[in-house]
Amino acid sequence: MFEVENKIRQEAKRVLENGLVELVIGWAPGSVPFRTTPVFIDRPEDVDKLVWNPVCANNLAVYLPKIAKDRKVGIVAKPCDIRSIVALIQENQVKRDNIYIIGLGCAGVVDPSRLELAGVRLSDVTALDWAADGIKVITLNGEQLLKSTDVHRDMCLACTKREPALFDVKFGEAVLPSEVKPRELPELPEERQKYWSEQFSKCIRCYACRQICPNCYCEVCFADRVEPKWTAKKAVPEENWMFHATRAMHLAGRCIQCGECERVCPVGIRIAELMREMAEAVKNKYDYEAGDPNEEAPLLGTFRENDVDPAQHS
Amino acid sequence: MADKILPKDKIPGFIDALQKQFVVVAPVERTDAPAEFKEVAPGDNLILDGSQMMMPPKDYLLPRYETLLKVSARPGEVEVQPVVPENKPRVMLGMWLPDAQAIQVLDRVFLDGKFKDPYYAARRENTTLVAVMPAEMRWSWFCASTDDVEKWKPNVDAIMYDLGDRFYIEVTSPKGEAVVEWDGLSAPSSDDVENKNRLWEQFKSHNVLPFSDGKFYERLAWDHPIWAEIAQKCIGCGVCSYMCPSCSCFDIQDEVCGTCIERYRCRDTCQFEEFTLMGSGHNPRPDQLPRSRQRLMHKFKYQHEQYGVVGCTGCGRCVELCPVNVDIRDVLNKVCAEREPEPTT
Repeated sequence: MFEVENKIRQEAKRVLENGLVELVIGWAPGSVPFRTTPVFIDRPEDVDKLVWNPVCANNLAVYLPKIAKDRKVGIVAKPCDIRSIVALIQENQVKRDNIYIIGLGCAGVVDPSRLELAGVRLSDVTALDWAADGIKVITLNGEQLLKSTDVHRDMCLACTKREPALFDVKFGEAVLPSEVKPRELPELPEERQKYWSEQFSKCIRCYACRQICPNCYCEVCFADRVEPKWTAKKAVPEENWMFHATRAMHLAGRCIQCGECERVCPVGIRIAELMREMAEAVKNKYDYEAGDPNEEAPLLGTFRENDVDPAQHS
Repeated sequence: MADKILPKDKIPGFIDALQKQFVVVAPVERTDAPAEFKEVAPGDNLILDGSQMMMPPKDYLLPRYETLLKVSARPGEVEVQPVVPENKPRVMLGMWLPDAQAIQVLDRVFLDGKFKDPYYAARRENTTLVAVMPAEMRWSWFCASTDDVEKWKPNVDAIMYDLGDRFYIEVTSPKGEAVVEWDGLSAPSSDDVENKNRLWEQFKSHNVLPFSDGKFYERLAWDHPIWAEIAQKCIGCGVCSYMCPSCSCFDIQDEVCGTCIERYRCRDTCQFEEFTLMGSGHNPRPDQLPRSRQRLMHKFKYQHEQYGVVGCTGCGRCVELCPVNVDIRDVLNKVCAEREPEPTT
């Protein structure tokens, strides 16, 4: 961890000093040891703020469309964050030439609330690190080894794409999960309907899922429009359905599965599960995966003669 | 006022007894989501020990969505029907003490001054507040940094201290007496009193942070560079304010369906662009910097000036849930470390 962290700092310093970028976006220590926070570094002497550890959760690509519009920006990015960057490039939201990607091999990110469930007292935690097949939690009372399956985020437990797909420089080793967590959605349509009704009924419409999503970059979201009014602001089940179902459709073939929406949801809606469902449908029908640098254009911006007609393949 | 002991195995009987006199509102467990304050129904699993983060109790007193009035129109006839909730005797149990203090902030907004809000008043005025003091302090709490917490006690009617296999019910107002009338409760032993006092001391000394000098509201300045620092990383969602027990901003909208109009109130927040967007297209808070500044200045400065109460009670929800880890404790520490108080005139 510290070796990779040092390399990130050296590289950030180098690209800032030689003027390759004006700014580097990365993670800095959070207010508590089990969180990190986005940091924007524009002076080489500040690069020691950058960290790399199992709680570097934020997908920093969310800042790119605004911050890298007309200047060169370096970004420290996990493989999922890089898929966001690829999608943003394909959708003309950022220019490849404006982005310097410090890519990282990933071993999965920890969900702090799962540390609590695994019996860790969060106030005792002083640091976290990756260990062979797990996570090392350093606390005031010593070290504790926890299994990845117990403390990683769901999205990470399902992720096999842990190598950066696009980068200018790459550090760190990818470690694949020992087992891939299967989806947990009910099979029958009526059961699914019930499942998602329950999930969406919890929504308080804080829009954290939308705001944290690098690919939700619309200047005015449909949910905020007054004329025409697509959905009301009130947090009631039917309006929540409208918001989440429409957002899911807008992200079909575009969501790159970073799981940030689910991480930030204050009421635990399984939004990432919905996104995973959409991505699988897109993969099965169109053999397309969002965020793949080998694709030239976004799925909805291309037509291929052998494209299936969804109306005929329900 | 006689304090009582409630053994935890007698909680169902205690709730039953309360329900004979009151509508009982308490945090009800939900799958995959924080417990939510609801009117207790048979079969509900209650979280009374304050051991987990729950939805703020404002969700009951100031619902996320409520109909204010209905209008029905026929040719030559318009009928306006206000929908005011029934004013019934209620007991709200299981709220963290900082959440109960946050209701003081809501009271100032909705009950004091020239206009009393009839919707809020109907739920609030006849409600007995019973707070909980958990056995373990949460890492994110910083209540004692925001205020002299001794002043909070008379603002609730009773406090339930979690002493492991029992609750110590401390009656803190005459209204609270009604909560301890049930004959299934017993008198506390001297050990119980000692343990209760220990929990209170633990609460009073938990996370007393450098900014806590009782004058931080004088140090928060409009032009501080910290606002730009926060705004750079803030994504502009509503987690901090929607989960906050004292944030009370709302929107009012009219919805037309056929010949009826429904006027409703729902949550809104200073963090959203549309919050200050005017009909003319002008927006006095055009980007995140003034929005981030507004929320903190409002809580820690304006509300103190306006009402004499601090708008934040240190419940820590925004600290735990902020997607980008903007920790208001850090913000206040930084602001207060860097600046001397401005001279008051």
